[in-house]
Amino acid sequence: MAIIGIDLGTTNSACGVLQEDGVTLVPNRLGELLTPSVVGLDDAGELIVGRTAKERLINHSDRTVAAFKRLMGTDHKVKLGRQLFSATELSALVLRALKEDAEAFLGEEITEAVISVPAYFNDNQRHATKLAGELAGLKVERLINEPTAAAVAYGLHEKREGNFLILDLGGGTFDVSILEFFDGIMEVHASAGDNFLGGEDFVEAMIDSVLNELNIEKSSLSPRQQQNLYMQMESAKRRIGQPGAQPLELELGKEKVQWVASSEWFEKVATPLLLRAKRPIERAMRDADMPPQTIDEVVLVGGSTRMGLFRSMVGRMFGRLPSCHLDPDTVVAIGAAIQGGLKSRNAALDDIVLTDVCPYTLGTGIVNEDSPDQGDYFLPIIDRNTVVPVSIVRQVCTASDNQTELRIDVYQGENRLVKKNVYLGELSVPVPKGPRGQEAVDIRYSYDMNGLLEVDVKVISNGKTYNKLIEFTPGALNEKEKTAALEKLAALKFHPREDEVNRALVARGERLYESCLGPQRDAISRALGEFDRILNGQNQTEIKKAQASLQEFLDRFDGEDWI
Amino acid sequence: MNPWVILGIEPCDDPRAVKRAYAVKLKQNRPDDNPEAFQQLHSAYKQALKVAQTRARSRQTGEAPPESVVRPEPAVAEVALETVEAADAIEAAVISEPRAAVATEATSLQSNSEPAPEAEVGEAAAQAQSVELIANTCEEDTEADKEQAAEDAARQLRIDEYRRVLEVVDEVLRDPLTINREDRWHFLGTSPYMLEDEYNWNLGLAVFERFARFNQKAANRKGKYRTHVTENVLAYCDQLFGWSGNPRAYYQQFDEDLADTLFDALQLDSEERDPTSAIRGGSKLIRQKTKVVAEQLNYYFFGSVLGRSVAVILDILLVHLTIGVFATAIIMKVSGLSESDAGLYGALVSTGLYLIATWLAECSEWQTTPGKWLLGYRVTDKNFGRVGYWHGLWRSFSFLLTIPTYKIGWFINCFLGGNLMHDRLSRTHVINYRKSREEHLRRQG
Repeated sequence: MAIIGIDLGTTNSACGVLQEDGVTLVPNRLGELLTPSVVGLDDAGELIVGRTAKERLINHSDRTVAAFKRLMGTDHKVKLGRQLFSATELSALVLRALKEDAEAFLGEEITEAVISVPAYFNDNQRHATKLAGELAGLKVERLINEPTAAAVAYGLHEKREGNFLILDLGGGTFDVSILEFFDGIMEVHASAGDNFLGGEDFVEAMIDSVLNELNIEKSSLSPRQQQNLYMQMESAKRRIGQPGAQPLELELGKEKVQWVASSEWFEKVATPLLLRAKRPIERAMRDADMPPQTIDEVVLVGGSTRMGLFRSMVGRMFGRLPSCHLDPDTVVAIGAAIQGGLKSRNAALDDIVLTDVCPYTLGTGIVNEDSPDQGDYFLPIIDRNTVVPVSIVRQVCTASDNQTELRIDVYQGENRLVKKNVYLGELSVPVPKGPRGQEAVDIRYSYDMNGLLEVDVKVISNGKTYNKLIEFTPGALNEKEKTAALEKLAALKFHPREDEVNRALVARGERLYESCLGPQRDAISRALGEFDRILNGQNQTEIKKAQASLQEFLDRFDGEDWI
Repeated sequence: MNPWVILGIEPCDDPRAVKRAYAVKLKQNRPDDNPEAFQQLHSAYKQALKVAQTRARSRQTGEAPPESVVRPEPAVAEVALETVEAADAIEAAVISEPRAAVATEATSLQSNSEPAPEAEVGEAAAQAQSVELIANTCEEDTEADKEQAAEDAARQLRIDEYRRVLEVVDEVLRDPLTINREDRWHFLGTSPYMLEDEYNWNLGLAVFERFARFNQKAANRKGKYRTHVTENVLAYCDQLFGWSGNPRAYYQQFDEDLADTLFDALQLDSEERDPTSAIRGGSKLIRQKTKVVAEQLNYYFFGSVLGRSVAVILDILLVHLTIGVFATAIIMKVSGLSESDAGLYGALVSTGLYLIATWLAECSEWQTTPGKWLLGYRVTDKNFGRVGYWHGLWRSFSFLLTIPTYKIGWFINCFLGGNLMHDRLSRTHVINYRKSREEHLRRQG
């Protein structure tokens, strides 16, 4: 049985599988390789995922949601219609759609997958991703870091040795990894990144700049206008630098505005974000102890690396052109699929070993006697960029007389104060009474290949050991809640697969209807009515023909591809 | 253990051979299968590789003259020091100074300075490339005067922008009301040329110094609070200039106290971004705190009837002594009733309050009332979780219902194994949490 590889992205997701003749990307129900990570419910309460949902973001923004990967591992929930969803559940729905696509494509049941996560995802976010897989009915064989997956794809493709710097600027996250390839070994030397830097932020910055300059409050726009503005900026971002740019017609509140998205303007807007992107690159090189001249190749991954400004910044940093022979949108899925093959011990990959690092420092809190109001100090246990799997022990002792319990807080981050780091959970162990400092415990942190942490505690004096799962993790579910979530998701059904093309076309037509005016609007309305009539006729050849002509007709209104 | 033994090769000075040996061994000890053996192998590999590299380098230096280590950093430092010491006029000169001159200075400095065996990777990222730029420009300089002119013009533009930006910085610093609004500083991020390392470095240095002096001055004015540049602004600028990525460079530039003023504040700050900002769609976005799940114990003991009676008496006494007495006094004052009548009403009031307070306390996150807490008791639902407020109200009501039966009720309750009538009616439990937990830990340990 095949293990599929899934790239669960902020903006788009993709899925691949390793077969005898290499990796094949799995087409979705529309026959496309990329599935937008957008989830929605239609008026009948049925589930929509992918392009159709993305088209509905404008007209049905209250029942559709995008970019929810940002909320992974947090307590936030999104309301669609009347139902509440966590980011984990929404991701599970995307994964389920991909799983069904793979099943239809391969003609067999899929129960196992390798899912990629940003290298800089923290423990909570990784757990949430794994849980999303489980909710989608997939056993998550491995969480692979996105840049590592990309490197695997490149490494096998290029078969070159040397030091690679992978820059992965996706829709919502930015990752940097430095790897070395030799003799079939792929060793990650360092990873760094920014979980809140991606293509979405560039669009966000463009919108802020426009509204700021025109002196318009964002809250004064209707949800539909906001989504429309977003889409216009998104496509303007892709066209920056291309000749023949038309001024955009923006509808803001009650007024209509013309806006020229010039490259100078975009550069100004993007500069702070690009500067932010430089920091992780510098840090990764510092951590790996590899200055720019030792890097043999710079590889770009992620759709947002198509941005000219980003490329030229990287070019200037390294004094050479970065490479991107593989499609930056799908390379991570390819790498994840290869990792899936590795897991199932595909014979072709026998001589390849991958080693990765843990991108964050992990530690615990210790009493801060210097200035108690600042909160506990952070005691690092596993330093960042330690090669994994790894298991490290540190000893701590009681801080006050007759202490009967020792609480171990688990934190992740680089600050010397715990309150500035990410809280992962805690566990308490009882210790025998005694004067302060007499009782000590060994805290063992074990970090596995998936980037998941386990904590063991051993009380020295009586030799008792406690191996507890971390509790109180944001977004985590207990068994009962998990069953409830499974039931809730199982109640949501997809439309029949064969309908999807029609639904996507209608959704697109409706979106265009919203954004057009006057005679164009009437024309679209007529075309959609006609299409509906043919659909009701249920004549397959007629429908096929109508699909093609409607597609062509809609292309006239926007040649833009939203994906 | 000897790393060479683990790798299975003779000690050598060929890094390639070390890598090859590691690759062979690693394929036998995959990290998935045997994490401990892998860690051992990996640290042996790192150790051996370091030895081999050092030896290889020393062999090279023995044969050939040392390869000159390019360290542009002191040059920039020198230049930047001037920035600190002198006025704006020199600052302009810093940038406008022909790069060729800077380059020669760099080389001369570098020949003087001790060859550093460990390259400062931190600085390398930014500066190694500026060397490249400098080198390139040197060649170009000799090529054509026209290019030189164009370059001068470009440089002049950068100098003008640099001055203009610093003027705005000073202006914002003069306005104590808006100084700490992050958006007031966005002009720094959108200033052109920010992506150019040399410009960014110089501007970052100048802004750093201005902020540090400003904050230092504010801190030295004792007694009176003075505005200083706060962490949010510093964090924003840090993103632009990467100060905290390279503190050593700044400690070289400025005296320790001055650099400390900003780095201490930067250390305190952490970027907290709102994850919800980029979410699109959805009719509503809410934050639901993860329910704090009570620790699951495997052994539970119910509270005893005696213990619970004691707890109830303690609670009633507590309410009566605090509120009941007051209530009685007030009733006496207001209505002029006799002491005994008012006492009756006061008791009624405190009983009512007792019921409400019990309900709230039992459903709160403490899950217990003061009396029960003293005895280590907790109120839970039938799954030993926290009781919801509606559920708790039903529990209190059940308790009221059982009161009329008190004549035989207490007798029945004695035989219900600690799970009393109103507990059963409302499907709640009162457990001896302390005892249960001890037992749980004892069995687990």
